[in-house]
Amino acid sequence: MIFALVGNQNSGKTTLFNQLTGSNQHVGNFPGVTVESKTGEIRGHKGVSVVDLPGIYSLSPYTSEEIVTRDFVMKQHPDGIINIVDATNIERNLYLSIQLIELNIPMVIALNMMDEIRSNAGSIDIALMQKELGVPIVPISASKNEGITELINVAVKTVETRQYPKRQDFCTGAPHRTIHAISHMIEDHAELIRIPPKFVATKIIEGDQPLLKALQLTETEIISIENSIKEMENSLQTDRKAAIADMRYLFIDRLCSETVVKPLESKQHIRTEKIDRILTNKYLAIPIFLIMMGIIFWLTFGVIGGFLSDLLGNAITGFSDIVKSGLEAVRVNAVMVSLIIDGVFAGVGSVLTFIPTIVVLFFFLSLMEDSGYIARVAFVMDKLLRKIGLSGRSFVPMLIGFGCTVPAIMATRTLPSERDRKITIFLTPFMSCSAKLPIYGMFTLAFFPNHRVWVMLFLYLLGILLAIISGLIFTKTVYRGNPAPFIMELPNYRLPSVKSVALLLWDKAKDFLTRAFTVIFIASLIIWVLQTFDLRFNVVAGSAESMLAGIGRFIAPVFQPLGFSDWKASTALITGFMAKEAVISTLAVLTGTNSSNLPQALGQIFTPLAALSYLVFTLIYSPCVAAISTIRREMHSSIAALGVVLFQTAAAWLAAFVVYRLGLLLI
Amino acid sequence: MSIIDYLLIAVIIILGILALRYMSRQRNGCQGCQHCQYYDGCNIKRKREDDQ
Amino acid sequence: MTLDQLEIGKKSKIIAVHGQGSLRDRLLDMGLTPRTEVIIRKTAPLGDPIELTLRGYQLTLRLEDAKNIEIEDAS
Repeated sequence: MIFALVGNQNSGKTTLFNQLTGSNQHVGNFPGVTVESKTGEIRGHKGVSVVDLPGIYSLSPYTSEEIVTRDFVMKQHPDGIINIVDATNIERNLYLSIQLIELNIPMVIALNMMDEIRSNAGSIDIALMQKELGVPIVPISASKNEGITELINVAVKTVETRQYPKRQDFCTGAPHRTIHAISHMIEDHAELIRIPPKFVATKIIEGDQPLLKALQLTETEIISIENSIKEMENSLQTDRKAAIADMRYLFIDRLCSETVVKPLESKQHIRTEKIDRILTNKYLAIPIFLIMMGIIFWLTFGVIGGFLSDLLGNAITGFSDIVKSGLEAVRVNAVMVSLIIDGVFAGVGSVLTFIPTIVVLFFFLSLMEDSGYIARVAFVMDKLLRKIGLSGRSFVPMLIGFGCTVPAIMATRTLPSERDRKITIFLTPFMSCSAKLPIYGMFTLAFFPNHRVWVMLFLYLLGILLAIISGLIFTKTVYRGNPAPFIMELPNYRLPSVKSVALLLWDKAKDFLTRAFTVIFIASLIIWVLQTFDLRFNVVAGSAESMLAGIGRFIAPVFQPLGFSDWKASTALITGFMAKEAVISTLAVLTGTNSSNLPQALGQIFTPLAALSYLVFTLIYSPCVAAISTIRREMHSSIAALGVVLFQTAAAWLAAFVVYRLGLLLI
Repeated sequence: MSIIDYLLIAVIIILGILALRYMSRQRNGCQGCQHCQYYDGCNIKRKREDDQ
Repeated sequence: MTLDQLEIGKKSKIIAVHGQGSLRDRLLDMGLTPRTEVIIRKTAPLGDPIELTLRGYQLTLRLEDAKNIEIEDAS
């Protein structure tokens, strides 16, 4: 038995899903659904699963979320629908409900946030509303885990007894006549695609092209449908879409006036207004936001995450040392030891140390998201981002990009439009990620000891500037289209649920662990092979003769115009492709130095101007393997991922070229 | 090379194959495997039954 | 008059949503239908977008899009 969980954004859908399934969730790929949707088995009910579909406001086919949900409900034919309705925002939520009811699938309404209604002296006549809508309604409070058991029982019973919605007609007046006329006309066609004719008729009047196509009507049928819609428009003096929306809201307004006693201004709303008076204040909003992000970054990359990462890093090094001496004690071949220690442990270990940072960063992000603050950030920043053809919602992923590109790209999932999402993914790698800091640190120490902060600031700003330029290029060429309209609900501030946050963190950690032991494991093996053997697969004495060095020498001429043609510099760029920190460790290995005398060694490879050019190149060139694999997964396209690699590398080459040549002119 | 070297090589090769297998599964998504713990509620199962 | 001209804190009622495309559909779906009461709550720190209250919830949209929403004169 499969239930589809459908509801508005901010209606507590994810919280309910977590309550229904506990940790028993997995991401499933459903045929016909390109976006990942989560599935879970309902606790205590074997064989009963529920699919968490994207939050939507209507069943029209305008956003990717709507299309996913529509396709799932209309094509996969779930056994039942659980429709979550935010009782504090009932009118707009019911707008979706009555469209779902028209689909004629056994359905239950979970009336969420009833605790807030009651505590603010409001009430809802559930018995009457149930009768009017013709589907069972269960009052719940997802965050307090109230009413969930009953919801499950009612939902299962509704499906088992094949209780279809008792009412199908929510229409009045002129639209009513037109809907009936059209539904008779298309009845046969609708039955062929197993969707109720009444639903199809209403959607066609709304101008639903995909559905009209699926019906495969004849030319004459289409013309006569068009005629009856025009007739309706003339008699109502309005257009088709507005007529249907108005009709639905008229029904809802009447229903609510009979059944809902609206609470006085709720405590939650008053609290929200008070908080907003500060957080979206004309003068305070931006400074507060910047300070908050500063604190989050400081905690994530410095205090908590950094500390835990160091701790984990030391533990891994310690463990690796023990294994190494153990292997040496049993006289394992030196090459084997190197494979295990320098290959697997070093490679996988260096990625594993990032886990605490990622978890801490996502902890803060999920707090921002679940509390409702992210929506305010988008509200405040929209005007700035519109200048490069994006909307306020793209701001947050880009910001995370300064920490790490991987979670930043995952965070673009919250963006409502595919176009915005793609552009944001393309621009995020320009935000200088924290793994590049060791490179900046070492090079500025070696070449610009008196101007370190200025050089770093220059690099960060250059990244942002190039992102803006690229954004303008993208929105003027490839992604011309219209920027996604910025219509967004600003939900009341709510305390995030511990359970949701914990589940999310577990999810992210698991994701990252899997990647460390699959992609990174394989990549580490490959790099190890490349730097240990020469072309005839003889073990090399020093890395200067290895295949990796060979590749470094081969591509070195490409960097001649940028001022650095030493093979060590280009080899370090290749390993930096695996992880940016590796640039410094590779340079150390190749020059046979350690961190204390590396600066002098660098002085022999680069001139100060070439060093600056090298820094600019490392700032922008291809994101690391982990980021690329994330881009590939999130965009479902290897070509797009390759595109990012090529675009970034080309931009890096150009930028470094300009910096180097300008520098030569100035000096 | 002693026997333990060969053993270690074997272990690493097996781990590598497992990782590659896992990656290809992740890429291709859910295949509707019959031994999967979610098979009961799986859409592919329903599709198979519908086709019959 | 249109919604972008409404003063902060003043109430009005929607007459019609003009324009076309998915933006308009979205506005209608979100409940901006005729006779619905709206209040402008505030403008964003940079002057755009605006925040409004309707049907008991808060919605934000850009001034440019608010120009397409015809409302009753607030007087």
